[in-house]
Amino acid sequence: MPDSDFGSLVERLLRAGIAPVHARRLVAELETHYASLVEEELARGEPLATARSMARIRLGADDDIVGKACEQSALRSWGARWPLSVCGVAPALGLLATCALLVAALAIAFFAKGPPSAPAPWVRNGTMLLGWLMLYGLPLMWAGMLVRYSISRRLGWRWSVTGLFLVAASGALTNFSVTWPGPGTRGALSAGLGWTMQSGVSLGIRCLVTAVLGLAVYWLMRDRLERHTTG
Amino acid sequence: MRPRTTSFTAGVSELLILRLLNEREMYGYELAKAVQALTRRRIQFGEGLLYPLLHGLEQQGLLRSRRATVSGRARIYYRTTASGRRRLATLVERWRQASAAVNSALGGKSYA
Repeated sequence: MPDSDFGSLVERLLRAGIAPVHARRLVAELETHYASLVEEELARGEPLATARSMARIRLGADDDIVGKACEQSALRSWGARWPLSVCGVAPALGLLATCALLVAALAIAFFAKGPPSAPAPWVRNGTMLLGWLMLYGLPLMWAGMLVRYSISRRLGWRWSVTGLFLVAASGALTNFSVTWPGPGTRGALSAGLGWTMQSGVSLGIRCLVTAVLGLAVYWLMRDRLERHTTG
Repeated sequence: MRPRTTSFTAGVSELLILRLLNEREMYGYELAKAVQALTRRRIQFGEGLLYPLLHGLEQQGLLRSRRATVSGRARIYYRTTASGRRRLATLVERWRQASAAVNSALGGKSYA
Protein backbone atom coordinates (compact mmCIF):
# COMPACT_ATOMS: atom_id res chain seq x y z
CA MET A 1 0.00 0.00 0.00
CA PRO A 2 1.53 3.35 -0.96
CA ASP A 3 2.44 5.86 1.73
CA SER A 4 -0.13 8.38 0.49
CA ASP A 5 -2.97 6.19 1.75
CA PHE A 6 -2.52 7.64 5.24
CA GLY A 7 -4.37 10.73 3.95
CA SER A 8 -7.51 8.66 3.49
CA LEU A 9 -7.10 7.32 7.03
CA VAL A 10 -7.27 10.88 8.43
CA GLU A 11 -10.51 11.39 6.54
CA ARG A 12 -11.92 8.09 7.79
CA LEU A 13 -11.04 8.95 11.38
CA LEU A 14 -12.66 12.38 11.07
CA ARG A 15 -15.81 10.89 9.56
CA ALA A 16 -15.91 8.37 12.41
CA GLY A 17 -16.13 11.29 14.85
CA ILE A 18 -12.50 11.43 16.02
CA ALA A 19 -11.44 14.98 16.91
CA PRO A 20 -9.13 16.53 14.27
CA VAL A 21 -6.28 16.97 16.75
CA HIS A 22 -6.29 13.26 17.59
CA ALA A 23 -6.85 12.12 13.99
CA ARG A 24 -3.87 14.12 12.70
CA ARG A 25 -1.57 13.17 15.55
CA LEU A 26 -2.56 9.52 15.29
CA VAL A 27 -1.78 9.43 11.58
CA ALA A 28 1.50 11.34 12.07
CA GLU A 29 2.59 8.70 14.59
CA LEU A 30 1.44 5.89 12.29
CA GLU A 31 3.50 7.37 9.45
CA THR A 32 6.61 7.48 11.65
CA HIS A 33 5.97 3.92 12.82
CA TYR A 34 5.44 2.79 9.22
CA ALA A 35 8.76 4.36 8.17
CA SER A 36 10.55 2.49 10.99
CA LEU A 37 8.88 -0.79 9.96
CA VAL A 38 9.91 -0.29 6.31
CA GLU A 39 13.50 0.32 7.44
CA GLU A 40 13.36 -2.84 9.57
CA GLU A 41 12.09 -4.96 6.66
CA LEU A 42 14.70 -3.46 4.31
CA ALA A 43 17.41 -4.30 6.86
CA ARG A 44 16.19 -7.91 6.71
CA GLY A 45 16.95 -7.84 2.99
CA GLU A 46 13.40 -7.46 1.67
CA PRO A 47 12.94 -5.46 -1.57
CA LEU A 48 11.29 -2.04 -1.13
CA ALA A 49 7.86 -3.06 -2.44
CA THR A 50 7.73 -6.08 -0.13
CA ALA A 51 9.07 -4.05 2.79
CA ARG A 52 6.29 -1.48 2.31
CA SER A 53 3.67 -4.16 2.00
CA MET A 54 4.91 -6.00 5.10
CA ALA A 55 5.11 -2.76 7.08
CA ARG A 56 1.51 -1.91 6.22
CA ILE A 57 0.34 -5.39 7.25
CA ARG A 58 2.23 -5.14 10.55
CA LEU A 59 0.67 -1.76 11.22
CA GLY A 60 -2.82 -3.28 11.01
CA ALA A 61 -5.89 -2.76 8.87
CA ASP A 62 -7.37 0.74 8.62
CA ASP A 63 -10.74 -0.65 9.74
CA ASP A 64 -9.18 -1.99 12.96
CA ILE A 65 -7.35 1.28 13.67
CA VAL A 66 -10.51 3.34 13.09
CA GLY A 67 -12.52 0.89 15.20
CA LYS A 68 -9.99 1.04 18.05
CA ALA A 69 -9.97 4.84 17.93
CA CYS A 70 -13.77 4.90 18.11
CA GLU A 71 -13.67 2.69 21.22
CA GLN A 72 -11.76 5.47 23.00
CA SER A 73 -14.62 7.86 23.71
CA ALA A 74 -12.19 10.55 24.89
CA LEU A 75 -10.82 10.78 21.33
CA ARG A 76 -14.19 11.66 19.83
CA SER A 77 -14.95 15.30 19.18
CA TRP A 78 -17.52 17.10 21.32
CA GLY A 79 -19.71 17.45 18.25
CA ALA A 80 -19.66 13.69 17.67
CA ARG A 81 -20.41 12.96 21.32
CA TRP A 82 -23.10 15.58 21.95
CA PRO A 83 -24.31 16.81 18.53
CA LEU A 84 -27.54 18.38 19.78
CA SER A 85 -25.82 20.39 22.51
CA VAL A 86 -22.83 21.41 20.40
CA CYS A 87 -24.63 22.19 17.12
CA GLY A 88 -28.06 23.18 18.39
CA VAL A 89 -27.91 24.67 21.85
CA ALA A 90 -24.36 26.06 22.21
CA PRO A 91 -24.30 28.36 19.13
CA ALA A 92 -27.73 29.82 19.93
CA LEU A 93 -26.76 30.39 23.58
CA GLY A 94 -23.39 31.80 22.49
CA LEU A 95 -25.15 34.24 20.19
CA LEU A 96 -27.49 35.42 22.93
CA ALA A 97 -24.59 35.73 25.39
CA THR A 98 -22.57 37.82 22.89
CA CYS A 99 -25.57 40.10 22.32
CA ALA A 100 -26.02 40.52 26.06
CA LEU A 101 -22.33 41.39 26.48
CA LEU A 102 -22.49 43.94 23.66
CA VAL A 103 -25.55 45.62 25.13
CA ALA A 104 -24.01 45.62 28.61
CA ALA A 105 -20.82 47.23 27.24
CA LEU A 106 -22.88 49.90 25.45
CA ALA A 107 -24.95 50.58 28.54
CA ILE A 108 -21.82 50.98 30.66
CA ALA A 109 -20.10 53.18 28.07
CA PHE A 110 -22.97 55.58 27.47
CA PHE A 111 -25.31 55.47 30.38
CA ALA A 112 -23.21 54.76 33.47
CA LYS A 113 -23.14 58.42 34.33
CA GLY A 114 -26.70 59.10 33.20
CA PRO A 115 -27.94 59.54 29.63
CA PRO A 116 -25.58 61.53 27.39
CA SER A 117 -27.02 65.00 26.93
CA ALA A 118 -25.96 65.72 23.38
CA PRO A 119 -24.14 62.78 21.80
CA ALA A 120 -21.72 63.56 19.01
CA PRO A 121 -22.68 62.29 15.52
CA TRP A 122 -19.96 59.62 15.64
CA VAL A 123 -21.42 58.29 18.90
CA ARG A 124 -24.87 58.04 17.30
CA ASN A 125 -23.48 56.43 14.14
CA GLY A 126 -21.22 54.09 16.10
CA THR A 127 -24.12 52.96 18.25
CA MET A 128 -26.31 52.38 15.21
CA LEU A 129 -23.51 50.38 13.63
CA LEU A 130 -23.19 48.23 16.75
CA GLY A 131 -26.95 47.74 16.71
CA TRP A 132 -26.78 46.47 13.11
CA LEU A 133 -23.83 44.30 14.05
CA MET A 134 -25.86 42.78 16.84
CA LEU A 135 -28.99 42.21 14.76
CA TYR A 136 -27.35 40.97 11.54
CA GLY A 137 -23.59 40.52 12.06
CA LEU A 138 -23.52 38.39 15.20
CA PRO A 139 -26.03 35.78 13.92
CA LEU A 140 -23.98 35.47 10.71
CA MET A 141 -20.76 35.22 12.70
CA TRP A 142 -22.14 32.41 14.89
CA ALA A 143 -23.62 30.68 11.84
CA GLY A 144 -20.17 30.86 10.20
CA MET A 145 -18.47 29.41 13.27
CA LEU A 146 -21.02 26.59 13.38
CA VAL A 147 -20.46 25.81 9.68
CA ARG A 148 -16.68 25.80 10.12
CA TYR A 149 -16.91 23.56 13.17
CA SER A 150 -19.31 21.05 11.64
CA ILE A 151 -17.31 20.81 8.40
CA SER A 152 -13.98 20.36 10.21
CA ARG A 153 -15.52 17.62 12.40
CA ARG A 154 -17.41 16.08 9.46
CA LEU A 155 -20.67 16.22 11.44
CA GLY A 156 -23.86 15.02 9.83
CA TRP A 157 -25.77 17.60 7.77
CA ARG A 158 -28.93 17.23 9.86
CA TRP A 159 -27.22 18.57 12.99
CA SER A 160 -25.52 21.38 11.09
CA VAL A 161 -28.75 22.49 9.39
CA THR A 162 -30.70 22.26 12.65
CA GLY A 163 -28.05 24.37 14.37
CA LEU A 164 -28.11 26.95 11.57
CA PHE A 165 -31.87 27.37 11.84
CA LEU A 166 -31.67 27.69 15.63
CA VAL A 167 -28.96 30.38 15.31
CA ALA A 168 -31.00 32.16 12.63
CA ALA A 169 -34.15 32.05 14.77
CA SER A 170 -32.36 33.18 17.95
CA GLY A 171 -30.69 36.02 16.05
CA ALA A 172 -34.01 37.14 14.57
CA LEU A 173 -35.68 37.16 18.00
CA THR A 174 -33.17 39.62 19.44
CA ASN A 175 -34.06 43.30 19.33
CA PHE A 176 -32.18 46.44 20.09
CA SER A 177 -33.02 50.13 20.02
CA VAL A 178 -31.62 53.41 21.31
CA THR A 179 -33.61 56.56 22.01
CA TRP A 180 -31.38 59.57 22.18
CA PRO A 181 -32.23 62.27 24.67
CA GLY A 182 -33.84 65.42 23.29
CA PRO A 183 -35.65 68.44 24.70
CA GLY A 184 -37.89 67.09 27.42
CA THR A 185 -37.16 63.44 26.72
CA ARG A 186 -34.75 61.07 28.40
CA GLY A 187 -32.50 58.75 26.45
CA ALA A 188 -33.05 55.00 26.66
CA LEU A 189 -31.37 51.83 25.58
CA SER A 190 -33.53 48.81 25.09
CA ALA A 191 -32.60 45.31 24.13
CA GLY A 192 -34.34 42.00 24.51
CA LEU A 193 -35.51 38.75 23.11
CA GLY A 194 -39.02 38.28 21.82
CA TRP A 195 -41.53 38.27 19.01
CA THR A 196 -44.39 40.63 18.25
CA MET A 197 -46.92 40.72 15.40
CA GLN A 198 -45.57 44.11 14.33
CA SER A 199 -42.04 42.82 14.01
CA GLY A 200 -43.06 39.56 12.30
CA VAL A 201 -41.95 40.50 8.77
CA SER A 202 -38.59 41.97 9.74
CA LEU A 203 -38.03 38.98 12.05
CA GLY A 204 -38.71 36.60 9.17
CA ILE A 205 -36.35 38.49 6.87
CA ARG A 206 -33.54 38.49 9.42
CA CYS A 207 -34.05 34.79 10.07
CA LEU A 208 -34.01 34.04 6.33
CA VAL A 209 -30.88 36.14 5.68
CA THR A 210 -28.89 34.24 8.30
CA ALA A 211 -30.27 30.83 7.39
CA VAL A 212 -29.84 31.23 3.62
CA LEU A 213 -26.33 32.68 3.82
CA GLY A 214 -25.28 30.08 6.42
CA LEU A 215 -26.70 27.22 4.35
CA ALA A 216 -25.07 28.53 1.17
CA VAL A 217 -21.64 28.64 2.84
CA TYR A 218 -22.27 25.22 4.39
CA TRP A 219 -23.13 23.54 1.08
CA LEU A 220 -20.22 25.23 -0.71
CA MET A 221 -17.72 24.06 1.92
CA ARG A 222 -19.24 20.59 2.02
CA ASP A 223 -19.12 20.32 -1.76
CA ARG A 224 -15.48 21.45 -1.82
CA LEU A 225 -14.63 18.90 0.87
CA GLU A 226 -16.36 16.07 -1.04
CA ARG A 227 -14.47 16.97 -4.20
CA HIS A 228 -11.20 17.18 -2.31
CA THR A 229 -11.66 13.78 -0.66
CA THR A 230 -12.94 11.95 -3.74
CA GLY A 231 -10.59 13.66 -6.18
CA MET B 1 2.22 -14.80 9.12
CA ARG B 2 0.92 -15.93 12.50
CA PRO B 3 -2.75 -15.29 13.26
CA ARG B 4 -3.39 -12.21 15.38
CA THR B 5 -4.43 -12.64 19.00
CA THR B 6 -7.41 -10.35 18.91
CA SER B 7 -7.90 -10.48 22.70
CA PHE B 8 -4.70 -8.44 23.03
CA THR B 9 -6.70 -5.29 22.56
CA ALA B 10 -9.35 -6.23 25.12
CA GLY B 11 -7.83 -4.99 28.39
CA VAL B 12 -4.52 -6.83 28.63
CA SER B 13 -3.16 -4.13 26.33
CA GLU B 14 -3.71 -1.43 28.95
CA LEU B 15 -1.90 -3.52 31.57
CA LEU B 16 1.08 -4.20 29.30
CA ILE B 17 1.36 -0.61 28.11
CA LEU B 18 1.25 0.79 31.64
CA ARG B 19 3.70 -1.84 32.86
CA LEU B 20 6.26 -1.01 30.15
CA LEU B 21 5.84 2.76 30.27
CA ASN B 22 6.15 2.67 34.04
CA GLU B 23 9.74 1.46 33.62
CA ARG B 24 10.82 4.17 31.19
CA GLU B 25 9.43 6.48 28.55
CA MET B 26 9.06 5.06 25.05
CA TYR B 27 7.69 6.03 21.65
CA GLY B 28 5.21 3.87 19.75
CA TYR B 29 7.57 1.76 17.66
CA GLU B 30 9.81 1.13 20.65
CA LEU B 31 6.79 0.19 22.75
CA ALA B 32 5.52 -2.29 20.11
CA LYS B 33 8.94 -3.95 20.13
CA ALA B 34 8.96 -4.04 23.92
CA VAL B 35 5.47 -5.63 24.06
CA GLN B 36 6.60 -8.34 21.64
CA ALA B 37 9.77 -8.97 23.65
CA LEU B 38 7.88 -9.00 26.95
CA THR B 39 5.33 -11.49 25.67
CA ARG B 40 7.96 -13.49 23.74
CA ARG B 41 6.01 -12.74 20.54
CA ARG B 42 3.12 -14.90 21.78
CA ILE B 43 0.78 -11.96 21.35
CA GLN B 44 0.53 -10.70 17.76
CA PHE B 45 -1.33 -7.46 17.10
CA GLY B 46 -1.58 -4.69 14.57
CA GLU B 47 1.08 -2.33 15.86
CA GLY B 48 -0.96 0.68 14.73
CA LEU B 49 -3.62 -0.25 17.28
CA LEU B 50 -1.28 0.92 20.02
CA TYR B 51 -1.77 4.57 19.14
CA PRO B 52 -5.52 4.93 19.79
CA LEU B 53 -4.89 3.16 23.11
CA LEU B 54 -1.99 5.48 23.98
CA HIS B 55 -4.09 8.55 23.14
CA GLY B 56 -7.01 7.21 25.15
CA LEU B 57 -4.81 6.54 28.19
CA GLU B 58 -3.27 9.99 27.85
CA GLN B 59 -6.73 11.57 27.75
CA GLN B 60 -7.62 9.70 30.93
CA GLY B 61 -4.55 11.23 32.57
CA LEU B 62 -2.81 7.87 32.94
CA LEU B 63 0.02 8.78 30.55
CA ARG B 64 1.79 11.98 29.60
CA SER B 65 3.64 12.63 26.38
CA ARG B 66 6.40 14.81 25.02
CA ARG B 67 7.54 15.48 21.48
CA ALA B 68 11.13 15.02 20.41
CA THR B 69 12.89 14.99 17.06
CA VAL B 70 15.45 12.21 16.71
CA SER B 71 17.49 11.86 13.48
CA GLY B 72 15.09 14.25 11.77
CA ARG B 73 12.06 12.13 12.68
CA ALA B 74 9.41 13.47 15.04
CA ARG B 75 8.61 11.10 17.87
CA ILE B 76 6.15 11.28 20.74
CA TYR B 77 7.42 9.70 23.92
CA TYR B 78 4.98 8.43 26.55
CA ARG B 79 5.37 7.60 30.22
CA THR B 80 3.04 6.93 33.13
CA THR B 81 1.70 9.59 35.46
CA ALA B 82 0.98 9.11 39.17
CA SER B 83 -2.62 8.14 38.23
CA GLY B 84 -1.20 5.72 35.70
CA ARG B 85 0.95 4.06 38.35
CA ARG B 86 -2.07 3.69 40.65
CA ARG B 87 -4.11 2.24 37.78
CA LEU B 88 -1.29 -0.20 37.00
CA ALA B 89 -1.23 -1.42 40.61
CA THR B 90 -5.01 -1.99 40.46
CA LEU B 91 -4.79 -3.84 37.14
CA VAL B 92 -1.92 -6.03 38.34
CA GLU B 93 -3.89 -6.97 41.44
CA ARG B 94 -7.00 -7.76 39.40
CA TRP B 95 -4.98 -9.80 36.92
CA ARG B 96 -3.38 -11.83 39.72
CA GLN B 97 -6.76 -12.54 41.30
CA ALA B 98 -8.30 -13.54 37.95
CA SER B 99 -5.29 -15.64 37.05
CA ALA B 100 -5.35 -17.42 40.44
CA ALA B 101 -9.08 -18.06 40.04
CA VAL B 102 -8.66 -19.54 36.55
CA ASN B 103 -5.68 -21.66 37.63
CA SER B 104 -7.69 -22.91 40.57
CA ALA B 105 -10.61 -23.76 38.28
CA LEU B 106 -8.30 -25.66 35.94
CA GLY B 107 -6.93 -27.64 38.87
CA GLY B 108 -3.35 -26.89 38.01
CA LYS B 109 -3.55 -28.88 34.75
CA SER B 110 -1.90 -27.51 31.65
CA TYR B 111 -4.33 -26.94 28.77
CA ALA B 112 -1.82 -25.26 26.46
